[in-house]
Amino acid sequence: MNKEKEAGFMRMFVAHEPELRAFLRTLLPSWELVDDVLQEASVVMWNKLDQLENEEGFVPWAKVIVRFKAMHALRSVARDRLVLSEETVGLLAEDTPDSNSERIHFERRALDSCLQKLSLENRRLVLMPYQRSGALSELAQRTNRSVNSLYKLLGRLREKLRLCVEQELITKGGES
Amino acid sequence: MKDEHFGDLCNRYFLSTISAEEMAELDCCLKGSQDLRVKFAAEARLDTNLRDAASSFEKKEGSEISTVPSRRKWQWAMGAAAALVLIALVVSLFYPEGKTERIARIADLNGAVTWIADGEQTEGRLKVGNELTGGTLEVSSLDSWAEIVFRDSSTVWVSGPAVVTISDGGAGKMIRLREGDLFLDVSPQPEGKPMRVITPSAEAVVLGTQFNVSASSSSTSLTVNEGTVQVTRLADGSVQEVEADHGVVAALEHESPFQASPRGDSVRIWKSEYPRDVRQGSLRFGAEGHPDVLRAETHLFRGDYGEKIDPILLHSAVVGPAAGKMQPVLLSKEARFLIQGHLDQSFQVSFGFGTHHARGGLSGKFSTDRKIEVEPDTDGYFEVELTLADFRRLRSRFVESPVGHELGWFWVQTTKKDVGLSVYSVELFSPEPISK
Repeated sequence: MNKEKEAGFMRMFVAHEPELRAFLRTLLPSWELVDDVLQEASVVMWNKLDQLENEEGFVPWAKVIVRFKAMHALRSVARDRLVLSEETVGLLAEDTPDSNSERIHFERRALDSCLQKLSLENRRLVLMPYQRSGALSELAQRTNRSVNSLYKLLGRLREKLRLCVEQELITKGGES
Repeated sequence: MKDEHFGDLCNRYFLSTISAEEMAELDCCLKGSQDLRVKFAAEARLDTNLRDAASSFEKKEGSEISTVPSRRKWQWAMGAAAALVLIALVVSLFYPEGKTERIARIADLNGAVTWIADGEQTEGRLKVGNELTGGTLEVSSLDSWAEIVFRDSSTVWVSGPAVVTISDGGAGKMIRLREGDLFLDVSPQPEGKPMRVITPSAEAVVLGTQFNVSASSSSTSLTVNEGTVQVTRLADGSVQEVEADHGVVAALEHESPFQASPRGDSVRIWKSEYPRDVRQGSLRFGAEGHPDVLRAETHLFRGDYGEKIDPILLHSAVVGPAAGKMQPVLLSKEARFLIQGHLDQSFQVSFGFGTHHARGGLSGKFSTDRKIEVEPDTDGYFEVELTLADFRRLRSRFVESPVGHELGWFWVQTTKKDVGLSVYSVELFSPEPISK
């Protein structure tokens, strides 16, 4: 194996992995699918690395592979679960800018700041769906609340965070 | 649309609590507005960042949320990437690239059939005559099928719904059937390079023969019409040689018998049994005297070949004797079906079935629609009796009549609205003997 090639691929993949993950999340209905597809796509990227002309072209090139794999995955799961139509997913993919890494980085920093503004309890709640399946139901039981009411609260907190992130980006202008 | 309502739909989508109706509404909104698509992408980025934050938070529960990029995170990411490269390297050794040789062609097809070629970032609708490299064929709907002919004239019929991957490399032809039905007519294969057919529960090694395979995620049924097929049950590695007019069922749970047996004489009556005959749907076992029910599964239909339609929600339950019975079920002239099921409300229901030739591949698909009225005092129960004459063939290329053909599977389906369709049983009666 060419060590330089290996190192170059690792560097590019790590640098743009959050962007590819966010792109896939736009197209796919669950994180399990996102993880599976990104893993499959990384194998294809590695095999096809010779096609990549320069590092600047990595993200658009990787997104083509990721998109192809995502469409394939969507068809596979379409019978078993609710998914967006292929036409819509295609439009979502088309609308995504070629490179978004910087924006995602700034939004992640802004999110940290916004999460700090929530109470610890609400912070735990808003992060709970990503930590363990069934955690929300357990919380509902523990606190004598309905799962539905927790989801409603969760929805409001996410909306609050989204607005906060927007505001942070405006006021700080992406300053890092 | 109000921002608030759209935001609510997005939250439900990303939290996986969205209903079928809401998904259809979200799909419609996104299709019609670029602004909403931009907002949706922003929600996806928020979801991505929240997941990342949750990962940090979990490690530091009760303390500050980490900032990125931290050195630790960077090291973790580098480790993950190194693992990915290792995986990629291993996979590339086993699946070398550059295999773009045409290995087969599409001889015939109908309905929603999609081809995804290996190693190409393209996908597309197929046409008759298209040459194929290795890749995956998805035959999406119940009335779809495709006929693939390899260069040595070995023929594979794929009947929908099915997902099948084909390749032809140094070790011979390989067909991977994730689910669905195949009918294979295999030309004699070169010595040392048999055709291998792999399903989630079995592997068949074929030198040249004609046979049918029906696979679900948990069980594979294989019946041989000519020649011999060696079948391995993947659950325990046990092997059976299956001769002509014999069949075998390989289930993932290896307590069930795995023994090749004669197909036996054909029968003219059949009643679905669960879970043996389930082909599609969600099985719910009854308790305390209540019958098991097969709840219809929801899926989107996006149009047949050449069509481009708004997605339609379908709710389908499918049963079939081929999934577990060795005796072929023949359809006689006076045959009739009795379907017992449940609906939450009166609704239009589609009934249909697929047939096989007596010793071979798919011969036809037939369907009919009925408005089912459920009475208020029957708790949604319905019962429908249909004769063969009630069904119409779905395409002119199918046999005109199913009489004398083997029953493959039977479906019950509603369109758009989920009205709680469930099937208790499908039963076939045939009052008069078939003349031979």
